[in-house]
Amino acid sequence: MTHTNLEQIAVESVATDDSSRATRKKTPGAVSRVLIGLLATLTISLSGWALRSWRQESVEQLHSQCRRLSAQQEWTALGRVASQWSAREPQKADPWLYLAAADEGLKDWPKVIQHLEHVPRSDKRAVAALVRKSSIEFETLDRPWDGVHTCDEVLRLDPRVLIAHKQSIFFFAMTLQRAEMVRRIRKAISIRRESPESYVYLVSASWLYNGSLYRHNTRWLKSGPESELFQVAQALQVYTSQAKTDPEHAAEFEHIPTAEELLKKYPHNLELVAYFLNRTITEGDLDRVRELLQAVPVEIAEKDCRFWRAKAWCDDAEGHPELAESSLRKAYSLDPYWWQVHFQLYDLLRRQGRTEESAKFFAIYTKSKALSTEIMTLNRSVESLDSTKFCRSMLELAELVGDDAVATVLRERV
Amino acid sequence: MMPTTCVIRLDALMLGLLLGLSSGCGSDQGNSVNVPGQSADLEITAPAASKRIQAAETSLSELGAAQSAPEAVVATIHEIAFPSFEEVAEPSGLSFTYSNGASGRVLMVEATGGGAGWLDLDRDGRPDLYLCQGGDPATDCRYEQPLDQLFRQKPSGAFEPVTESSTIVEQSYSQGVAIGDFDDDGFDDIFVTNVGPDTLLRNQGDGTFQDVSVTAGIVDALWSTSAAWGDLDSDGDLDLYVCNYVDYDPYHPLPCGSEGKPGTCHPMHVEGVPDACFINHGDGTFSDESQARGLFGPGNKALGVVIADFNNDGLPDVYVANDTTPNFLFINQGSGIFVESSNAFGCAVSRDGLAQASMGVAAGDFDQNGWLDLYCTHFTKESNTLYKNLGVTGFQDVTGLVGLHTPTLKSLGFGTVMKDFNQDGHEDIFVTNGHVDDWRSKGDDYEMQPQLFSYEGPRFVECKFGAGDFFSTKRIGRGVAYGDFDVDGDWDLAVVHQNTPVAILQNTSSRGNWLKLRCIAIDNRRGVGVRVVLHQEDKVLTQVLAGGTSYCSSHEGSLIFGLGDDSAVADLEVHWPDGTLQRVLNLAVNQEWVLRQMPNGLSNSEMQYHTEVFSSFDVGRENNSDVLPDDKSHRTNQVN
Repeated sequence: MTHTNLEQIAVESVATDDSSRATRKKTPGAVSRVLIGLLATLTISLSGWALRSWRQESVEQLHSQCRRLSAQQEWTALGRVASQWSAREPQKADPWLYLAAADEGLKDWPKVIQHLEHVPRSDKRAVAALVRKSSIEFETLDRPWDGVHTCDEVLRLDPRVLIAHKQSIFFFAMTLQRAEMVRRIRKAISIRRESPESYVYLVSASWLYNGSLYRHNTRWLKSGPESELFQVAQALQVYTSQAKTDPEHAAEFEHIPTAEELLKKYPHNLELVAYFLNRTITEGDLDRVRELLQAVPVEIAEKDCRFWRAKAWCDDAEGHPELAESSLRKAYSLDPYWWQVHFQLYDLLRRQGRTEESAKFFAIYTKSKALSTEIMTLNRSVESLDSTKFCRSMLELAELVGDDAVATVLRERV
Repeated sequence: MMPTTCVIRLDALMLGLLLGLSSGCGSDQGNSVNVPGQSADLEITAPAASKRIQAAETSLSELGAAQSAPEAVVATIHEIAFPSFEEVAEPSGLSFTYSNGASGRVLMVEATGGGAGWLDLDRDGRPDLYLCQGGDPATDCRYEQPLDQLFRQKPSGAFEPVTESSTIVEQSYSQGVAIGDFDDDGFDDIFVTNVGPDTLLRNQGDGTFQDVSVTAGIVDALWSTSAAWGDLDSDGDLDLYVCNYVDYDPYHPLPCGSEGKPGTCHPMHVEGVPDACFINHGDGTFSDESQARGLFGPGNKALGVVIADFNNDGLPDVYVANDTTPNFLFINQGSGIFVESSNAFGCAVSRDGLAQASMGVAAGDFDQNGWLDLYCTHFTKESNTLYKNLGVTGFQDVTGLVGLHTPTLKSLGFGTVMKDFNQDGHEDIFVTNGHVDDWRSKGDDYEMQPQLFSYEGPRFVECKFGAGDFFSTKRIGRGVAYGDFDVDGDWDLAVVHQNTPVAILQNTSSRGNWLKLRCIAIDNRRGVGVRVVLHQEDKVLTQVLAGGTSYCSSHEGSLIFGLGDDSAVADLEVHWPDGTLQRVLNLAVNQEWVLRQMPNGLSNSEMQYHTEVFSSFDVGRENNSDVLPDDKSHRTNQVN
């Protein structure tokens, strides 16, 4: 009905205008022309005012209805009304937010994120909407890459949004994209928007296989069953926990290929090769370690401290301590927090009789190992972390390894 | 002694050979490599080693380019003579089973006990055997519990129980035993570790023993495990180091286990307790001076111990294997004061920097560099660890590099010895295994097979087949003690199991030439701490009579050198425990010799040589004519 009136009003207004123009041609007196002009102006003004009033009233009605329907959790009706509103005011945030609320009530998640996407970025609620969107993408729709992109958009709008840092760091941690994870952690630290778990991930950047890898990657694989990234991250928790050889759990992980099978499938996968490197070093298979070092493109491998550590092991085993030291120091520069590199540097220098330098790295190892042990004994959740104590220890370690960027921020924190 | 052969795949050895080549141990030109020290040479066809082993490059990008792709290794089947043993306890009349008293309570102390000690109680030259017994660890009637047992070896070679006649009444819940002549009267005494007060039994020389624990001042009521004798204060007599484990009272046990089922407590959940070091005052009394002498460390949960000179300064040091906490190396500072130096020497934790669940520990010079190496046994999924002694810079964990990582991942090792069983000139390693709890649902075996590794330089090879039927049977192994019980010049073994009979493993290896020594120091007739360096043509071998080693067990106080194919005479440098050096030249091999320290022995600093060859086996005749051995003449070469 409203819509019909609006149309009638528009038609009448145009007809009046045309007839005045015709009259003016017949009686072009000055007074008449002024009167006609005034009348026309008045008419147009009144029409505009009427239209605006009608529209305002209509939007208020829509808003009011949306509020009511939302409170009553009448999601279908809310969706209908909000849809009308959004058609009328697509540049406004509210109708999209109500639409999103309606579809969230109906659990139509793909539509929810569509609606949230429409929230104008200029609106002060855009950040909250996008944060909600990323949560749905990560946790409900299992579309983590979309979640990451949304987080990135959030951070472009406001780099101070803690949750966006947390979510994206978590994703890169859970998918074992360690270099990107560290880059994001350091970015968050530099703008003081890091959370305590950022430091947990930073300290464990080169060695941690989180206890939730299997669970999250199994979910995320739904969004891309052929995803190498998720397959490898999922499998690595199974391998590192030795779940496949545990009779109590073996059946549960029967569908996971063996590590050897997966490596055959993805022979150049960074994480998989790094896993085998560690295993093969422990087994003392020098030739195999050399082979594995070549399996990953050099430009990727040389940015990964695990490969430098492996090379150091080869150097050492072949009787080249000076090369081993050089490789270990490179590993140390790439990840100053990895306790195993600290230990190996201590061990290598000790064997060369360089007691003082060795003692320095032993002190670092003692601290980093203690922190790592604390991480390993967290009850599967960083929430159980005593963040004050942890940050204090982290500060000591950051100072020991000379990581000023981290130490400066931690000093403020503790 | 039938020759025994094992068949192995050569590709398993390939890496080791290449490693050896890379460190300058062989030709890098040919395609055929001969490995010395084996009865049958290994021949492999391989790409020229020099192509494969390149000096490490300075960048990862060049690494790939430096390597040629591995070429196919043409591996053929070869035969190697490995050590072999035959289980002879039953035909020898030795019947004994260590009972851990398991009754479903799963008390922590049930997991650890069972040790054996070789001694010559009557100085007849034939090793006798002391065996610890457990029983009910939480009984109200201790006096009703089974006794530790002493078996004497008769001239026929059969064992007979002599516990009653020896007057030994040891009814505590025993764990281990350490044999030593603390009063230097020439008769082996017995120290027994218990859950509760330990016991010192003095050999009275007439076949009987006297419990002198109280009068000697041996006061240690903690849960003790392994123990070792050694002259820690360099005063000539033997002192006693006692490993103490954790603070656990079987009468008031901690509740452990999961899902409502009782389980063996994890040592990380139980407080450690300090070890004891009883310094011998030379008058039959001791005092615990562990704290005053620096023999203590944080997180002490000791299960294994070795007393030996690890830094070749002529002074005995102490290595302690701790369960789940870093191991200790107490370096002797020269005045009976020790400094814990395991980190400085690189033998506290594994190559990965992880503290392991150490149980037993073996010592020997596997790489023949004259420095004593260490081999520690560990929990399942940890692998045992071989620490190579590099010399003045300490140790390096080389477990993986010598092929010892993977074979022990599924094992839970306890007793271990490093000896050259087949006398090919290289040390072998024996390990007895067995779980501490029933973790079969988690994929671990409860009973486990023992393992034997033969050093085929530069890697060890597991003797899975051909070592004897004993190695195919699963048991719960604990203590292992070596002794030449059949007096034929090679090492036999006593292996203690929980709740199944003790095994006596007679060495049946097809073996090389050998030389056996008993060293009688002036103040230390058992010669504990003596270090002998043998020179035979180009060969230089070192043997040390260490205190302790293995787990809860004690060994015959002799040294045996395996000499492989070489039957030439040997020269000896004998480094006596008091620091004096003695040279013995042109000693015929394939015999047992008794060496007595010269009074006014020559010091190291003088570096003068003195030649003195003692007639073989004269000690028994000289000092104990009434207990002369039967006709067990010095064996000549048994090698064909």
